[in-house]
Amino acid sequence: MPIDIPPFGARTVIWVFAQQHLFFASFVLGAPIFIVICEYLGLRTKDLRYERLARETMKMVAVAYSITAIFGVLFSFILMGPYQGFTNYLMVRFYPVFLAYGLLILLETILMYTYWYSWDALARRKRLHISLGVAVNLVGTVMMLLMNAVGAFMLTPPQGAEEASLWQLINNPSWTGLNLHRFIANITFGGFMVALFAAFMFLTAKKDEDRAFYDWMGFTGNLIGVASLMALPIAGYIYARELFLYDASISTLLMADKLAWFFEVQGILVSLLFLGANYYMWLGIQRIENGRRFLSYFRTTFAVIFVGTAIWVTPQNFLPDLTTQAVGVDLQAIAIPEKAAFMGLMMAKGLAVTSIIIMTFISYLLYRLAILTGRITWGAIDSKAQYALIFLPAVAVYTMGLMGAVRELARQDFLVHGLVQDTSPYWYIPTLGYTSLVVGVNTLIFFALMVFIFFVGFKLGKEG
Amino acid sequence: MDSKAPGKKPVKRAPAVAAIRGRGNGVATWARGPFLGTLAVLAIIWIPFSLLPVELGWSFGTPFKLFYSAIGITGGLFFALLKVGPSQGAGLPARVVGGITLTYLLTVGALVGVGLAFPQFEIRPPGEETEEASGAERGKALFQDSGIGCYLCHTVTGAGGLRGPDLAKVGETAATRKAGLSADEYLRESITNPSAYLVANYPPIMPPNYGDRLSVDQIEDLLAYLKSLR
Repeated sequence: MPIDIPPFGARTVIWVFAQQHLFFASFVLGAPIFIVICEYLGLRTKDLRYERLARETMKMVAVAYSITAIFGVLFSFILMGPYQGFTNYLMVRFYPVFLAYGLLILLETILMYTYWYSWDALARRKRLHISLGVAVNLVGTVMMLLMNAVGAFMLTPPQGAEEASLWQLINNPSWTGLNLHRFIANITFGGFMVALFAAFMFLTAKKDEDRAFYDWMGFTGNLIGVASLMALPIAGYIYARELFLYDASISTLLMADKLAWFFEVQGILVSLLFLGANYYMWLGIQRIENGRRFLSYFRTTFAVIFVGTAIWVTPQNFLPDLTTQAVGVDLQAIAIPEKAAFMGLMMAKGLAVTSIIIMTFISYLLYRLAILTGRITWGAIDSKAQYALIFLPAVAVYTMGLMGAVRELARQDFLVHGLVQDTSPYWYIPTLGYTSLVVGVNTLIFFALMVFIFFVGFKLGKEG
Repeated sequence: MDSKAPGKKPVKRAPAVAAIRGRGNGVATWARGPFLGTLAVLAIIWIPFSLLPVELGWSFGTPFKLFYSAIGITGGLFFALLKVGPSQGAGLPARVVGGITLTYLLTVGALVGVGLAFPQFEIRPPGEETEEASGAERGKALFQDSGIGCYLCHTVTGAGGLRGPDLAKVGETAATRKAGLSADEYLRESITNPSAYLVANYPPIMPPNYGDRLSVDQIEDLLAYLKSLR
């Protein structure tokens, strides 16, 4: 290849920078959605907590936005060197899209910083300020749709792509599914990041009123994250179905061949997310007067989660892919027994995850019932709950990184599926172990940068 | 943990023993229920399924038992965590930041560990073509190449996907599939124009562009391999 990047290789370096860009992009796109909603709720209910949540979260977004852009630029530059032919191909096919994207970055920057810096100036003209926030969200969403088109095209180019119009390239077979999944996932991501921030601030708060506020903020962020999380499996299924309808072999690669064990890890990750969410509610309900009477129901939820997880992650066999033969190993020992084969099928796993979602929803209803019948003491939550709010974003970020890798690796040795072959030394699908290491490093880099944002925004900077 | 009757000296017991016996102070008793529950789950996983005859179709192999045991132990630890009493306030900022960082590191580390522990496939670079490799051998390599993807939908000798027809004996049946077509013609048509003939009970999902994706030589090699399957 023309340029490589030792010692990790061009593909891995691009992977890290692209993933960081996507992490931060997810945050700066997802958080403004509920920032604007919270600002509106603050206006309607006169509850100052909503205003404070909106403002403090926006402070983080303003810092994160710069980092998003920096990683986007770095990702682009690093991609151009080793993959000159491919970037040229994309630029030729999608030139108007990239032009529009660049202009929208400019517009979004103007809108976002106007929205942030006019917060006090427009304090008496809240509706105008909220309208600015809506504009920020609309422009950001269009930006996401444009880049989703390029990403989706790489996996599902339309039939006759070489003669296709620009709109046909954009509106390719998996564009809609990717848009839906990423839109919902951005909200989930934003919610969990707010919860992470709240946990950090709760644990370092010196005043009771701050602790009370950050307890409420963590609850609200977690609520947003978990509520949208429940819609993600459906969005993921819709996306996967689009891939299946486009080319069934992609689905087999994902679920039965080399990427199957990646989905085993995904099952564990999503189960951990629901477990963490329910554990947080378990601790949270204990700060509500008479809330402890519901604890036994939560134990049932936990048991369902563990049993559901066991079913969800039951593999059909322990072979790493479809072509590996069981040499020197008893096939019967590593394959699911005949009568239990149903546990390896999609229906059983669908039922398992549906049960987990329903039980989580019931837990939340019990939590709401506790609030209706008792008094909640904000700030009195067990500090272990804050560590749950740290655990959840760690798992969520890792999940996003792993699933992003799965989507890219589904192209196998193509840069554009079926059209542009990857002739670099990195054409192959890396092992799950290697992928886990890179995703883990990405997760830690993101965490370090978020801590930097918290520190700069709230410990060094003045309250804005 | 100490326990004592009135007038007697305290008897020190090892924490684990005290936890199981449930004596001592409240901190020790929290482990008993989850510990016994975990033992029960492990006993169910390892004992009954080992005693069942294989013919019954319920015998899980050791990898499955280890897999479920890991889930069971994790569950036991989680239920033990539920019994831990309330934690006090945060403490010094440095300690808080350290706790947050440790939580994050342990979480990510455990997830990476799971990824490393699961089965790993081998990365097989495309085989170099040699003059000694026959067409059928080259065709087999193509069939098993994940970039071409034949095996993802078609089974041969028990290995492969299930979305398409089993090709284990396609060398015998190809000539009889479609009237007027030889085995070569039928197989070539199936690869380049799959919608021309659909095998009963299978959906029309085979990609139609293999005629463009594969070279003439690659198609010939695939035909040689498929015709060898008898």
